[in-house]
Amino acid sequence: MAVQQLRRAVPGGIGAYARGLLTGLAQASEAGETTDITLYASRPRRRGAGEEPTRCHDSVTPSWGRACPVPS
Amino acid sequence: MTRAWDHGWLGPVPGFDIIHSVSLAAPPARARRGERTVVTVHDLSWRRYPEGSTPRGRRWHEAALARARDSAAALVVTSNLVAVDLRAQGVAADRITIVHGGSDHVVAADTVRTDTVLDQLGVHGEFLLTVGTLEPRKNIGRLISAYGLARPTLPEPWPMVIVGPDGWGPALRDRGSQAGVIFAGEVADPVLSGLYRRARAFAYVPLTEGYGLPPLEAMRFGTPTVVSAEVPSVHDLEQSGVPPARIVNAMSVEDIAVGLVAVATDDVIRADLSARGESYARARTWRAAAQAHIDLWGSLA
Repeated sequence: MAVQQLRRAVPGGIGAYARGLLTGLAQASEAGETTDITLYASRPRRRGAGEEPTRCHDSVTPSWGRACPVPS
Repeated sequence: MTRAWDHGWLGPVPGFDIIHSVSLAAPPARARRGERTVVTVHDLSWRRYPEGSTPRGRRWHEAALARARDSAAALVVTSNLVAVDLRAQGVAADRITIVHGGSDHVVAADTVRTDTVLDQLGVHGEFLLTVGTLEPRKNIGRLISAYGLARPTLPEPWPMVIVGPDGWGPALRDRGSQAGVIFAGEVADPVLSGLYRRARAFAYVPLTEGYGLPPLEAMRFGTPTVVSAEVPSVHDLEQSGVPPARIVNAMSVEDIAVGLVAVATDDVIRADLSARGESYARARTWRAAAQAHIDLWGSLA
């Protein structure tokens, strides 16, 4: 999943939509729907900038920055 | 990242079965290797309301939409309204999947921080609330004018609290000198939840919208809500039944004012909208949205 504006704090914006969808995908994973997802987004700007949206989602592998890794 | 994709500084993303971009900002596709791309199109607002976008923004959205239309295996939209717009652009109906957004992303209200913020704003009782970036499409200027009409007819001069970051367009903060209008700027999510819960009524009257999460968020807290007819999260095309919010004409200051007064003062309307709105919002879940995505990806893999 490529997510622009993941951390942008605009009420009702794309970031809110993406974070909601990630939450739903995490719930689906807990219910046995195994979907391996790599999240491709801009890296956090700084430490402590806010709640990390992917922290609680075990089914999502974050990938920040310029290069997107090739899964093994 | 978006600019890097647009200019080709970042190439196709290798090694995946499906690449799903949750907005028109999408990496380039590499279809010959069998990778499938999916793009979520949240709205075509730059076409429905061109004055609501900058010329540069319109050019970017047109180019990005053309790329998605020509290369994506599937397009996800959040409403029938956007599906109709895409079909009008020549996208076949079987390439479009409608997935409604949820409301269960809202965090618990922090009542202590909310009280602190309200105290700092000088709000010590009931208030009306709206949320949105300060930009022309959100129609906040017309909402402020409507509030000016409504305020003298309210039982008390309840203020209108406006939450959201600065965007672009006519300087709305100048309107903060209008009696009762309070700009709160950006607030933390737990405070926003607290404001939703505490507000006497919530108003959201954009000129056009692809979906509209904020009214769902407010309704989830049982707050009586007034929205413009252009908010498909509440009142979509081809949607039957009585809307769970008061629907008003976004272009009519008078109609918005009447709607504001009704949801703020009429106890029968308030009780009805509070109950039906909360039920409606709680039925929209991100688990259901995720399942729809998983099903779509499975059909493409």
